[in-house]
Amino acid sequence: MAIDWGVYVSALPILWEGTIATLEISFCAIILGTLGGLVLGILSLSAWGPARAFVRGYVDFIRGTPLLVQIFLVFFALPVVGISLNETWSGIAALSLNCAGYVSEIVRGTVSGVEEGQSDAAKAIGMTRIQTIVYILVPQAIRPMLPAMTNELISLIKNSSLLSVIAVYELMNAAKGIIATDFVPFQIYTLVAIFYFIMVSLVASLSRYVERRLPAW
Amino acid sequence: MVNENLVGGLRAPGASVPPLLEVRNLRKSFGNVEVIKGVSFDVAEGETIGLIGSSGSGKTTILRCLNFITMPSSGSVHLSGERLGFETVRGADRLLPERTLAAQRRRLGFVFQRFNLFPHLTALENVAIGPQRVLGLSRSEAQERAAKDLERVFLADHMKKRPSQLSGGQQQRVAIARALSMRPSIILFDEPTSSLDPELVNEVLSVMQILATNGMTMVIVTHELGFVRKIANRVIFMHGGVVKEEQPAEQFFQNPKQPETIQFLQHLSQQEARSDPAHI
Repeated sequence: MAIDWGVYVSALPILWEGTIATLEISFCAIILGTLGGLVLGILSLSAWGPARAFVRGYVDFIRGTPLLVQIFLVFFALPVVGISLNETWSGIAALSLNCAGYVSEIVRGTVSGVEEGQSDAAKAIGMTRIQTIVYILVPQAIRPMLPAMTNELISLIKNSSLLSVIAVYELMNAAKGIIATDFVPFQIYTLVAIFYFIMVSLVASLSRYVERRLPAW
Repeated sequence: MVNENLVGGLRAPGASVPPLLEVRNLRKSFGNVEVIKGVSFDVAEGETIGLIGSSGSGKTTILRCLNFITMPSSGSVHLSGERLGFETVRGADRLLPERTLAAQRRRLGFVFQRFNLFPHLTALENVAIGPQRVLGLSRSEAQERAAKDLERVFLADHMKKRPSQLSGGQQQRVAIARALSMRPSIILFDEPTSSLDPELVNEVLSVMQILATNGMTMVIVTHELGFVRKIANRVIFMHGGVVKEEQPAEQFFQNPKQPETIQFLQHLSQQEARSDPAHI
């Protein structure tokens, strides 16, 4: 089989655009999902029973249903309750909601792993549970949280490829467009795999760099 | 801050000033095991109490129950006449909301055996975080107060260091400064020198002695009997979850009454004799 280099040359600019879109979508979802996950994680550690129950139910739902189903649910359910987002933003919303569920579990696990005497000391100077979590426990949990957070961010970038099902323009969708016109699936999917791999490798090395730079005590 | 009603550390009979801290019939069980079996005592303002007893006698648990880090199973603690931890509603004790309990805890300082400093913060930040986040001082006011309190424990030169860069004795002094910065009415010390290397014990004890001399009210759980004899006004001896003996310090050591106390003191003095090089 002769390799048609022309296919690659004409595909690269389109895939590059798709990559930028994937990075933008992932970036937004990571920020929103991490913030949401932090809030949910803190709630799940709070002394307030209803908040803990809510987070538990939320996490069970996110973990218990496929992301693909969640993407469709958000895409079709939001207009029903009067929220109209374009497909890109409902895709970002779906990824963020999914990410927040997993991040809250990471936060809960690492924060409650911070040594017990810390809560006692914070109580002894009159801190409330929430103050203890925010000022004492979470800052100490950031470093141990990083490897699990990196895994979650990597999953999110790869999972963003599922958004092509609701016609969000991103790397996977860009690739599908090329394949539909040129009919060279093998070559294009190989390129797509390489593009995802490079993105994920960059995130992984960035995470290792940050982990080295975080203060140790 | 010298209390006129203190005569050699004991409240004069008929004194009208109520005790600063009133502990009544305190009990604590873990599962089926009752560790504290009904303990009552008073602490007057300006008093230093040595709370001693063999390990497992419940000293640390009592101390932790006084500021509700550990929830007592029953009994009451009053600070300056105010009931701590619980309120009585229609004859039944009800736990106070967390926020109220947190506000009450500010008034009792606590110094832990293992320091429990916040490792991600510098010495200055460890001391300033309470005044800033709990008392609502501005960042600069809190740091100013923290700097002064660190000077009081002779750590002016180490403010920027993290706990891991400090010796055990220095860490414990930071912990004392952290307690002081909340301006508590009383400070509870839970074996403050037990996890220190022997050569570091004295720097912590001398800081505590200065506090006692300046009239700070303190309850000290410790095995340093020489220190208790030197600075405590009164000694409470615990055995098997109850107070076995309570006496002014000098009397306690010279003339202990209960057989358990006598045995405990003998046992400890034998140990000291063994470890004292002069006796080898």
